[in-house]
Amino acid sequence: MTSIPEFMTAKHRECDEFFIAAENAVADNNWSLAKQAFSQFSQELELHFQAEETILFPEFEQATGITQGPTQVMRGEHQQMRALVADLLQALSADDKDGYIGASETLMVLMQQHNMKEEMMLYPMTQQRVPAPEALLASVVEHCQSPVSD
Amino acid sequence: MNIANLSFSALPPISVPFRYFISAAIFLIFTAVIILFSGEEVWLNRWQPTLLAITHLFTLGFISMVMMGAIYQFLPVIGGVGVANVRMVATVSHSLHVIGTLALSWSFTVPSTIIHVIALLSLGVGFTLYIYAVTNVLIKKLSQGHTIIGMRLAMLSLVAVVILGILFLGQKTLIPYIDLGFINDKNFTDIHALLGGFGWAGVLVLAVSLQIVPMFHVTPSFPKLLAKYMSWALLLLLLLLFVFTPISAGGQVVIAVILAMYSIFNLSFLKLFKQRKRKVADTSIQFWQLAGGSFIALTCLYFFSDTFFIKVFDGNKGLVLSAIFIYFYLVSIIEAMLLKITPFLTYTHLQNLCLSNFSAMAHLPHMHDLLLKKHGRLLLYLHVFSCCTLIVTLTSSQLYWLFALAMLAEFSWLLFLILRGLFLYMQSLEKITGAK
Repeated sequence: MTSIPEFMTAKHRECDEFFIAAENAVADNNWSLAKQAFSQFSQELELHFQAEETILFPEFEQATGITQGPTQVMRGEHQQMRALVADLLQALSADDKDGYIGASETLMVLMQQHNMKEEMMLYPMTQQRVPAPEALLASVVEHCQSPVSD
Repeated sequence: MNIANLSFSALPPISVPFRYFISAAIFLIFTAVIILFSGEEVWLNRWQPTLLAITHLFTLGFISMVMMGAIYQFLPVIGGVGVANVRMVATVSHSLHVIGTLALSWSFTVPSTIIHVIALLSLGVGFTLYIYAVTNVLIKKLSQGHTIIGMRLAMLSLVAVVILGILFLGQKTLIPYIDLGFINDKNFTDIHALLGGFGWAGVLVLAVSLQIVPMFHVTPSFPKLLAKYMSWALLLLLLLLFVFTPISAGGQVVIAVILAMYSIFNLSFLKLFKQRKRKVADTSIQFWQLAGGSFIALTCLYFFSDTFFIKVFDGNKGLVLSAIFIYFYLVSIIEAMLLKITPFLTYTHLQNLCLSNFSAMAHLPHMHDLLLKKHGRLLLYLHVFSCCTLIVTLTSSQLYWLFALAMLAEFSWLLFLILRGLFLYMQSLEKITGAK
């Protein structure tokens, strides 16, 4: 069985893959492929955010008693990323290459620094602090509807 | 893992890193002017007083300046805890760093006890305060990643470099009171340089790369063995130089092993960039590639015969290798990082303000607006050109003025890019705070 940090980090990388596929397709002016890859990316991202906001963060908050700290910042950043995803969708609908690349670079940076904080600190702490990490992981996996590798 | 002090929003004020970046660019503009008016005799060998001054303007005024400024920003992101009393620490240590670097450079060309004392006190107190403040964060057990461990080892190297530097200065000013004659041994000068280059700068670049290369460039991770052991191995090899002195045959073998090991790190990141999946052009990667390729060339050159250096570079092997390491390698990597850090910092600070006011997000500029791609590309062209002029100067020293002018253009442009980022930050800040 994998751990919370391992599973969530793998999910980050999966989102990155879809994100890059969409960006590369835009760079090649392949708009139909871009729309397909972007749709996969935005669905994966939303599932990931929901898993954190409704399952992982509340468990962390309950286990540590910290409700206004790191998880609050993470929730705020999720909102910001959702806004950038909406910008990207708009650029995609208008086949606006420059608009898309500008927003995608911004989302990339926001996403990566967000991931760094989660991967370096929040996930390992959650694994350490929650009373039943295996059960928590099972709930997250179920939400994300992805098989977990042994 | 202790979470009592954890805060994801503990970013230092933007003025903290930016004052270091702006000073760094100004220092190299100043250095270019010195080179322009110093004549060709500066390039005779690496012990020329003016060249020693120029070397320290590069290492203290630019390389350490940027790295120290970036650490303030990097710690809260990677460790979740920032430097305590950051405004005070940055103001005092940065001011003393600037004064000390100027005094030290001056003291090489115009020896004077009072200037030596100013350099000794400014650099001694400035570095002690900085190291104390950063160490206080690094000793906390917030994250045990290889990056944090590497940063600790780099900081340890910096302590050793500063102690040796202080002893060199102390030997000039405190002779009537304390006998520091042992420090005149040229081996200590080489250890000071090697620890500074490969311990402080080299291990820090390695440690930070483990995190930022895969993250910001979306590449695979570095090999696990390299991530885990390379920093330790480099530091232990550097410490071996206290036993096998750099001039001895044993020391030469240790240096060769250090170069070979560090080449492995360079080959690794070159390979990672080749495996990068994003197709969008990124100038900072070309800076990294220039740096990596240069380091491999440097390692090969180290094994070339003395005859080659006599024929091509008037026998100045040490000078040529140091110049490649500092200018082709470290300066390239620092410029690559600045191209990423400057817009990233500006964006992160503005984005943080929008966390409490979501509607203000409409005023957030995109990353591309904060540093235009064509501006980054021009910096790369200017750097490649100045690298070429440096090689020309090392082979024909009468062309030193060409290198000085190329440097002047490059670092004036870098200064403009940093100031432009800051100006856009202030413009956006006004809109965001006005939207509240």
